[in-house]
Parts: sequence; structure tokens; C-alpha cells
Amino acid sequence: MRNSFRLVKRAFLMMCLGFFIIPVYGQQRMKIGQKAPQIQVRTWLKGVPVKEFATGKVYVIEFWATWCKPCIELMPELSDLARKYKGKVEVIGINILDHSPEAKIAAFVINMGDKMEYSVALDDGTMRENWFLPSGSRGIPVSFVIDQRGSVAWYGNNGLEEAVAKVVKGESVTSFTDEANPSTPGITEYLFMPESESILKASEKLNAYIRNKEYKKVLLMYERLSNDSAQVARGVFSLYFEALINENPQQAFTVYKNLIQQKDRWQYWISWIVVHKMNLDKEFYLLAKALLEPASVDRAWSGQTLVREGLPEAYYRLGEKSQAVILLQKWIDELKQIEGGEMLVKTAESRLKTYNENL
Amino acid sequence: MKKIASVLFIVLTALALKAQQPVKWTTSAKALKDNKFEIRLTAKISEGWYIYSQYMAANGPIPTSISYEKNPQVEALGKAMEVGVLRQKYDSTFGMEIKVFLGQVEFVQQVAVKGNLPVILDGEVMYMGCNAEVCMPPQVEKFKITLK
Repeated sequence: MRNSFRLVKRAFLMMCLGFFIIPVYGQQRMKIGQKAPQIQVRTWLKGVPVKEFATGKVYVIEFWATWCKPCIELMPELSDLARKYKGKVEVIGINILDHSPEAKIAAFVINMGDKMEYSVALDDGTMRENWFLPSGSRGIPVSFVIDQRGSVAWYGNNGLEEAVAKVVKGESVTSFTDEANPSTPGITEYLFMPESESILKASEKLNAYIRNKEYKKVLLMYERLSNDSAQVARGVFSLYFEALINENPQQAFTVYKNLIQQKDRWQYWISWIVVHKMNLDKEFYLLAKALLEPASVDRAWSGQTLVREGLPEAYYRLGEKSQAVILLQKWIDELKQIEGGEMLVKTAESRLKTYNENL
Repeated sequence: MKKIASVLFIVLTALALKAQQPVKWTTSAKALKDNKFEIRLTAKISEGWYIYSQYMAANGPIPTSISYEKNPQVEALGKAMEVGVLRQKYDSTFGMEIKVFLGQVEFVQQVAVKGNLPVILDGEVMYMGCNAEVCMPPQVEKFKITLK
């Protein structure tokens, strides 16, 4: 009983931490050659609005903010690029992660004059979700080059000019971006999103309901949040799932299965909740196990605690305890090599002790 | 009243390994005389990166800011001092004076404590870090310090 309490407490701690820090956790990495996600913005501040990528034209999507010095320094170069390839390449600057009021951002764009001689738009959160986060970039500026067929040809923090020169000539760009940013968890843990305050407020309330086992209230509140703001609702999705799995495990199973099918960014996080819940239908743990196996796990996630401790937990739930011990021990050995991994080693070792006691 | 220096922890801000963060934070607290304490928030900044001072004008990069949760037992005495090598210069990108820290900076805050010890002080520091090529979006690190 004490053990189970400790587990719940630990899962809960992980959840709380997640909610304070990772309103939106990592998602699938953007791949070179994939179809570019759609362009969707709040407002166009400059230039003719682009609703879709025209065949035969190259696009540069550039993310910036008013507080970002390297972004501002890059603007004249982007303007040169836009002038150099006029008619062939369209440059679009997207303002993201900026808390400044719209009027202030608009004034900034006007003041920049011909140093910002390309289209400019304000993100409504969609570009951040569908472009910036999957790029796994550590920060901004980050640029994307979309080729003549509407596919992602290149993205990264430097090397834009060379990439554009190649793509314009119809050449492919070696996907050095992937090599330059190997398996980073993405920027997501740093995010200070415009909605983060609302997400935080909502999660505090939802957490309180969950603590009191008032799951129905969580589900009702989630429904209300979904109607008011899809972004905020997305930010508290795991709390909704936590309530759902207690209130209606069958429906939770369908939701979980769909998440995995759609490679939703929450899939690993939700798996953590699943594997730490006892006495679920075996199918839950089998799904989690299949998702978390090294062969199928997303590269950007392969070194993450949620995955590395989630998999042994899935084995443990399925009764394959010696495999759980082997996997967790391997993770502990790796953690010991890493600076700053001490706290993680401690929690993993305490879990390993439980596994060994129940062998 | 027995007062001993206490060093506590900063709440880990990511499940991802901290090794990847260019700025790492630690906290410490030291008892002074007359129910006063000195709190230090230390930022260790990776090579090539910098963070901004608290003392800059608006309309530019976002200055570092420290805030504390309301606690009737604790009163912050003024704003935090900054101990580190300050680089100050006019920045034509923003058209204003910019103050940054490289390597390491300590934000030193004195607080007065009323009533019985220990007292737990919760707070957060918001900062943004940049290098020559990118800026991380402003981020928040939460901390919890026990004054005893």
C-alpha cells in the first residue's frame, strides 16, 4: 500500500512538474522532404497574405520576436534575400512567442522600414505548434525553406542563404539540420507561451479536483475549456486524461489508441500516466509497451525519462519483471554518466528496488 | 534563535536532462543579523551565452526578473543586487543601453523574516538567454528556499 502511494505521488509530481514547465511537450520531429504544414496566422502586418504554398515558388518562413537580437540582426539579410530572388522566393517573417501587444509589434515592423522588406505576420499559436516545436530548435531565429513542390527542403538556425541558393536551382539540401541537432528534446521545456498563464491557472484547478478524486468536474471543466480555447485545452490534456482513465477507462483506451495512431505530441506523456496506473486492462500496457520500445520510439524522445522509465514500467505491469529490471538498470547506468542526473538516478533506483522486491 | 545557513534546491524545471540547458540555476540562503537573511540565486551561463540584467529599460530584450510568492512572514528588502561581471553598452539593434552577464551572475536579495523559523519562501526567476545566433524564449525557473 505504501508503495502504491509512493508511485501515485511520484506520477503526480511528474505531472505537476510537467504542467508548470511543459505546457506543450515535444512532438514528432519535422522531416526534410515532408509536406510543409499549412500556413495559418492571426494577422498579416505586411505583404499579401499567403494562404497556401504555390507550386513552383520557394518560400522562406522565418520565426522572430521583438526581444530577439539575433532575429533583428538577421532582418536586413532576409530583405536582401527577398530582393535577390524576387518572384522566385517569398520570404515571410512570423512573429512568435512575443508578449508585446499587436500594435507594438506593428510599430516595430513599420520602424524597421526597408530592413524588413518582406511579408510579416503574427502567429496565433498554430505556427509555433506545427512548425517551430517540431523543428526541435533551441531558440529563434529559425528558418524553414519550402521547395517548389511545397515540401520542407531545409530548416535551421544558420545556413539559410546557401540552402535557398540550392533549392532555387532545384537541388536538394543535405539534411544537415538533423545532424546539427541530434535528438534534442526540442525547445518545449523552455516555452513561455502566450497561453501559459491560462494553462497554469486551469491546471491548478484541475489538479485540485484530481487530488479530491472529483473526476467528473475535471471532465466538465475540460469541455468548457475546449469550447473557449483549443490551445489552453491542449495544454491541460494530460489532466483531462488522468480524470478520464479513472472515470471511464474504456473511453480513455480509445483516446489513448487514437493519440498513438495520430502520433500526437501527448502520446509519451499519456503513456507515463497509463503505465503508472495499476489494474488497467492489459491492452493499455501492451499499447504503451509497443510505443515505448526503442525500435518504434521517436528519435527525439529516445533519451527521455518518460520513455526510458515508462518502458520498464510497462513490462512490470505486464508481469515481465526481470525485463523491467534489466531495462531500468540500463537507464540508471546511463544516467550515472550524465552531469546533473543525480536526482533522476535516485528516483529510478527507488523504483528498481520495488521491482527487485517483487521479482 | 538558532540560525544556520541553509542551502536548498531549485525546483527542477525540466524532465529533460539539465545538461542541455545553457543556463543553470542554484539557490542558497545565509542567515544575517536581526532576523535578516541573504538569498542568492546563481546563474551559471554556458560559454557563448549571456543573460540580461534586471535593470534595463523596456522596449528591448526582456530583463531578468525575480518575484516571490506572497508570504506574510517574509519581506524583501529592496531589489536584488547583481554580482558578476556586467557588460554594458549601447546596442544599436534595440537603440538602448543593454546590460548582460556572461559566465556567472549572482542575484543577491536581503529579506527580513517575522515569526518562527523555518520559513519557506517560494519564488520564480524569469530570464532569457541568447548566444550570437539564437535566443531562447523567456523562461521561468521556480525555486523554493527554506530560511532557518
